[in-house]
Amino acid sequence: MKRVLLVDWAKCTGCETCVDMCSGRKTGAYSEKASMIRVQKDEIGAIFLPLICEQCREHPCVDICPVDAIQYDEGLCIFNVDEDTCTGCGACEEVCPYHGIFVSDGLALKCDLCHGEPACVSVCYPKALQYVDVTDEAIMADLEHKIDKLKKIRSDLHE
Amino acid sequence: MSSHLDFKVLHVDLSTRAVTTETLPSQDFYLHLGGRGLNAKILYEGVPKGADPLGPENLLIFGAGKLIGTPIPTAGQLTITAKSPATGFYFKSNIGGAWAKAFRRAGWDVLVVSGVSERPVYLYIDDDHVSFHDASSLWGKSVRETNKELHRQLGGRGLDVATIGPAGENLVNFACIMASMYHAAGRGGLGAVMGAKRLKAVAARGSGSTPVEDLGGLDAEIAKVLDRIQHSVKAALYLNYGTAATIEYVNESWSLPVNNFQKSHLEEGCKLAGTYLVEKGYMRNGSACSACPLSCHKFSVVRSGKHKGYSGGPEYETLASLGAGCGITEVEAVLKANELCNDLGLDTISAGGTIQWLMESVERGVVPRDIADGIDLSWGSEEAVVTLLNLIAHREGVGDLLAKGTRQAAQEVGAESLKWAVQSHGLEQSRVDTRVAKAYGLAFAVNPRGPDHLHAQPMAEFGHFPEARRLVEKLLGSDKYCNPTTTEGKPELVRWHEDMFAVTDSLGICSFATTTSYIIDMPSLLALVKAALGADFTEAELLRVGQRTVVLERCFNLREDKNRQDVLPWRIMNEPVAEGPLKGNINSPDELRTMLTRYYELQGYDPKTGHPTREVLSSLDLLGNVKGIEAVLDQPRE
Repeated sequence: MKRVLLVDWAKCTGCETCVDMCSGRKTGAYSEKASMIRVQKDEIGAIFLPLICEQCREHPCVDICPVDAIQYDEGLCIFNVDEDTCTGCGACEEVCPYHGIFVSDGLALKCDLCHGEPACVSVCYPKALQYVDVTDEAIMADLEHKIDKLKKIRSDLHE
Repeated sequence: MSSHLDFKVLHVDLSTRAVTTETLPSQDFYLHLGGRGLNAKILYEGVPKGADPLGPENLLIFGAGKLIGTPIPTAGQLTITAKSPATGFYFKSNIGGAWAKAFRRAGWDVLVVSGVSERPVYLYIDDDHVSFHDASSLWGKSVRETNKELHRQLGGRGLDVATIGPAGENLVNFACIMASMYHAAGRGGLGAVMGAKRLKAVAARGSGSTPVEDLGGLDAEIAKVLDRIQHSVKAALYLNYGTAATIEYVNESWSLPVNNFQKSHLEEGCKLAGTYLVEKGYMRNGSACSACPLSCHKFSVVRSGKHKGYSGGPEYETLASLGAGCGITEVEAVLKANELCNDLGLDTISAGGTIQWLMESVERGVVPRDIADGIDLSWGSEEAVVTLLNLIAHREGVGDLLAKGTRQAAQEVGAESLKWAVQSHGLEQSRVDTRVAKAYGLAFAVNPRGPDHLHAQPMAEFGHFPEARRLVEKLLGSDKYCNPTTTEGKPELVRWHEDMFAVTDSLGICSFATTTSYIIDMPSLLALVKAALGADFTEAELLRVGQRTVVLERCFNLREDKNRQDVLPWRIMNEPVAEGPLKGNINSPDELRTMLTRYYELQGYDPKTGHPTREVLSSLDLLGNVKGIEAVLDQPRE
C-alpha cells in the first residue's frame, strides 16, 4: 500500500528535533539550512507549523520547474529533486503551498522520505509527524486536524 | 590546535562597549564541562568579594553546554549565572526555550557581560557579528511587546530573544530574564542584574551547524532514550499536563503549601491541577524547549471575562505560589497572574511568596489592612494578586516594599514578621513543603542559592516510579529508603542528585530528564556524551565534575561570608505541619543537623563548619585551577 507522511499541526510543540534529525541524516551535521523539514514558529501564540513536502496531488513545484529536475518516485509516491539537473533557481520554493521545498546553497531541498524510513517521524514523541498507509480516513483526518488547528488559532488570538 | 571541546567566549563590556573574544582550552571541558560548571569558575574568578550585585563589577554570564544544538532529548537548557541581588550570594538560573541553541549555532559557548551601559541598550548576536543597539524605545515595554518589536526590527527566521520586563528595569529583587517569549530564568533577581546594566535584551541568531563525533552512534542512543520516554509515566504527565500535573497529587497527599505554609490542603485544589486545566480547555499544546520531546512547558488561554488573556505556562510552582499559597482556587485569576508575571518579568515563586507574606502580616495585624490603598488583602483575594504584581514591577505604593522580597520587607516592617517570611538567605522557598520530604529539606538547606528545588531535586525519595526505585536501590542497597518522611539515606541521595544536577546543567540538558523522571540514566548519559563529543568519562569521573562545581559554588558563598549557614526558613524549622495525615512533621534544627553532619562527612567538609577543606579542594583539582580559591581556606567561622 502507498504510504504518506502526515503532519498534525495541533500536536507540534516546536522542539525542532525533526529538523536536526533530518539534516543529520542528510549531511552528517545538525543545521536548519540543510534540513528538508523546518518549523514555522510563532512563539507568542505557541503555534508551531512543521513545513515539509506533503506529497500533494497538485505538485506545482513539478509543473513550474524550468529544467524538469523534480521526478516522481513510484515506489515511495514522492517527487525527488535530481541534484545534477536542479539549477537552484527557486521557482519551486515560490509556488509550494506548504513551504515544503527550500533552496539552500544552490540546490532545492525537499523531503525524500529517507527511502521509506523518515528520520523525523521516528523522533516525534508528540506524534505530530506520522508515516501511515494511504487511506481515505487518514487523508480526511489530516485535513480535519489542519482545519481544527486553524480554528483554534483564530479563537485563541482573535476572539 | 583548536578542538570542538574548546570554548568560544564572548566578552561584552557595557561600560566601554568593548567586545572581545577568548578561547578557553578543552582542559576546561574536562574540569567543568561548560554551561553551569564553567560559569561558576568564571564568576568566582571574575567577581571580587563584596562586589555590588547591581554594580558594574558583577558579571552576567550566559553559558550554553556542549550538547546544545544536538537533538539529544532536552538538550536546550542555558545557564545564566551572576551574584544575586536577592541573596548577595552565588546564583545560577536555568532557562529553556531556543535561545541557547541559536547562540550555539552562532558559534558561541559563553557570553560574559560586564560593566553598566550609560543608556538602555540591547545586544544583537548574529553569528559572529555582535552589535549594540539603542533600547530607549524598548525601556518600559513588557516582555511580549519587546519580543514583538525586536522580531519586527531584526526580522527573519531563527531569531531568539532573551529580555527583561519592567520588573528588571526597576531592579525588583525577584525580576527574571525571559527567553523565547515565555521561558524564564526565574529566580534570584538576575533580571535586576540585567536591568542594572541597562541591558534590555540579548537577541541571538545562528546559521551554523552542530557537528558531532559519531552521528550514527548518537542516533542509536537517542532512539534508546526515546524508547524509555515511551514507557515513562512521568514523561506522559509532562507531555499532557506539564508540571501542573503535580498539583493534584501534592494536594491529595496533604503536602500543598496553602496560605503561606500554614495549611496543607485546599478543598477545591483540583481546580488548579493540570488535568482540570486541560479538561476545561485552558491549557493546550506544549511549547517545547529545543530538542525536548517532553514539552512540559505549556500554553494557556482564558477566552473571556475579566481575566481574558493568554501566556506560557502555568507551572506547578506558579499555581502553588500565586494560587494555593494565597488561598486562591479560581484558576482564571491565577492564569492572569501568570500572564502578568511573564509580561512584567517577575519570578512567580517569589512574587507569590511575597504576597503571601503580606497577606499573613495583615492577618496578624503587623501591617495595616489598608496598606495597599483599599485592595482586599485577605486570603483568597484575586484582586490582591492581580493588582499587586503591577505595583511590584513598577515599585508603586506598597509594591516598592514588596519588590525588595520577603526578607528585606520583613526587616522593614518588624522583626517578628520574619517568622512567616518563608525564605532563607533572601530567597523565598519553592512551594514545596520540605517538612514532609526530608531529602528535599536537606537539598534546600545546602543549596547555594537558598531554599529551592533547582540544585537538587531528589524526587527518588518518593519512589513513585520504577526508575526512581532502581536509583535508590543502586545508591543505598535497598529501595526501603524511598520514604519521604525519614532521614536515613537522604544525605547520600542529596549528594548524588546535586552532582547529577550540576553535570546536567553543565552539559545543557534538563534535570527533568536526568533526575525527577530518571529517563536519562548514567549509562545513557555517558554514551550520549561519548557519541556527541567523543569524550570518554566513567560514571565516577562525570559525577566528580559535578561535585567540583557544587564545591566551587559553595566556595563563592563562603568567600562572601565565612559564617554562612545551611539553614531553612524559620517557619519550616520551627513550626510543624498543622493538619492532615502528615501533621507534626518538621525540619527541626536537630533533624537538619543530623542530615548535615552525614552530608558534610560524605563531601569531606569540615564536620563542624561545613567548609570545604584543603584536601577536598586539592583532590577536586580546584586548587591550582581556579584563581583565588585559597581565599576560602584558613578563615575560621566566627
